[in-house]
Amino acid sequence: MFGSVLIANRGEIALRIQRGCRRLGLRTIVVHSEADRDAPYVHHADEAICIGPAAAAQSYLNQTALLFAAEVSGAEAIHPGYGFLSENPGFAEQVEAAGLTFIGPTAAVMRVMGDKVAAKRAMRAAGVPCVPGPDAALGDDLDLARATARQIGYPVILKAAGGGGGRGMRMVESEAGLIDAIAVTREEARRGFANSAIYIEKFLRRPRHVEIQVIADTHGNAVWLGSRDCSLQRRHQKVLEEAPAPGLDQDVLAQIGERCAEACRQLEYRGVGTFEFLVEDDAFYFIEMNTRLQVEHPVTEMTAGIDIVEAQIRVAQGEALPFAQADIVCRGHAFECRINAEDPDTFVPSPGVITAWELPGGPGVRIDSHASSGYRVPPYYDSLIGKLVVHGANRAEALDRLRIALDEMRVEGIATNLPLHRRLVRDAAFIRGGVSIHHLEQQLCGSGKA
Amino acid sequence: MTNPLDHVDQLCAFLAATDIGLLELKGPAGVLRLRHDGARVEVEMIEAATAALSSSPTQIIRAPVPGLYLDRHPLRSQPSVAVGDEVAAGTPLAFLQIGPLLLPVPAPEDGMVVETFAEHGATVGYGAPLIGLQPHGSDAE
Repeated sequence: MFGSVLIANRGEIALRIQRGCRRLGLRTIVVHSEADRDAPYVHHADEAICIGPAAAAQSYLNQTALLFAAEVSGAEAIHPGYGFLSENPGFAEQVEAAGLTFIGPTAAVMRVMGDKVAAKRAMRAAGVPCVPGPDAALGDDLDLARATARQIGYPVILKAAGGGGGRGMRMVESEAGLIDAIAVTREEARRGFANSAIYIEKFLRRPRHVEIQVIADTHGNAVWLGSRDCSLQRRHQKVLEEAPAPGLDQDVLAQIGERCAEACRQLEYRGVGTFEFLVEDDAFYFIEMNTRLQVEHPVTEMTAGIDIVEAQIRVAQGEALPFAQADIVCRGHAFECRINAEDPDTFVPSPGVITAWELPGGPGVRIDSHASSGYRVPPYYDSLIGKLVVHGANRAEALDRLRIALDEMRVEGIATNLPLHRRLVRDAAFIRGGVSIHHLEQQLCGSGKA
Repeated sequence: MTNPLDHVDQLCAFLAATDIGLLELKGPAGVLRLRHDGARVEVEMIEAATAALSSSPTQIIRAPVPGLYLDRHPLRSQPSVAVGDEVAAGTPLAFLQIGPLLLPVPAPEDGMVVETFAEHGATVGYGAPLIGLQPHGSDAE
């Protein structure tokens, strides 16, 4: 049990965690850099401690300063939020070594999930589906290569083991092209990366990004709270998310969700977490697990009717989950738009003072933001200034509410990506639902030719 | 490289177009300070010789880490220094306590204590002003 929480983060999530703590009657200690000193959420905390200069490496990533702040403030637990030190097992260990509670999983589990190969192995062991393909390089036996490709199913992709950044890869449509492709890719790998080892896996043409929210307590209980679709991304940064992921086979989804919960039980996972998948033709392929709270957790809060941050803190307190899998239902539909201080066409960050800040409202509209009129968006950090979250009885209603909310919202003084969101919610393919992870970059950013 | 003083007008124009309040350039020749109050830009130039003498007044010693401010060593009953004390570089002026850790706050150079900012026993964050020190000029250089 702990009675006070140090929030080792900034911006909207620091405020979100503060609200969760206050609901539970916990004392809040907010740490901040010199650049965030005047942020309103800093003043709302029971105690605020400056931990360093603006640069994140010397403040929000400065483990010593954070632990010093925890010591002098008498904090009994540390909530890492997302980003910064939230998935740093070394930090989690230091926090626990100092006799404090780290609000998150154990360092050991974080290490497994932080290593792609170890994570994939753990998931396979738990029956969570991964991208098909052997975990080893292709040998010289061409018959064996043919058999492997046939077993995976075409199209397949050949990848140089030493490659990366999109180079040294070749997609193969059918068996007719396989042997030649192996020879060419191997030769390219040898010349390009001085390593002729190549491997083969399933090629996904137009996958969606679907993720499963889980929560586990320290009493062996784990449940999944629903799905989210986060396919609208730009350079792997999510832009707009929704829950549930539309148009999926509910039986398949339930099976995957249960596997995720089972994986948590096997790993003795504790706290909240997210299993990320690529999904194509109703088949799920595990990519990675995030062992922390996600930016987009509110859409699941809206559809599951559960305060995820509060539940996360409660399980860190040692409480058993107050709900079982059978109690979890998905009500309606929710969207989240990440409002970033950036140019909507070039995506260049746009720090500065917000001179006008008019927020939308009405049924089903929620804003998670630390910003306000007069707030200065510092240039040192992520450009997220708020999240517009909208809920409706179904996807169409939620989308209608989102359109109106986006039109109502007005931010001046800095550039924001609101115009991009307004275009997105009028895009025919997005309205239909189920677009792939390439959609945003190909269809919407292409017109601006950033 | 050109002298920034040749470009003061241009710098002022750049500054006027931003929401930056203060631009300070320090060089061997002196300090150039441009203040922008939203309406106009005010230019201030301080030559190196003057800067070293009159405009290096009180040096503020700040907390390098968060900690509990102690104006004395825990085994002493009197504060380590008082306003008016002459101190040599390296003298512990105060301490920061972080759990069992005790960090001395040394005088960075010879000088006179002219101000104390923090309360004994108060929690201070990074950068909090602790002690004002009037250095003994630049005769060492």
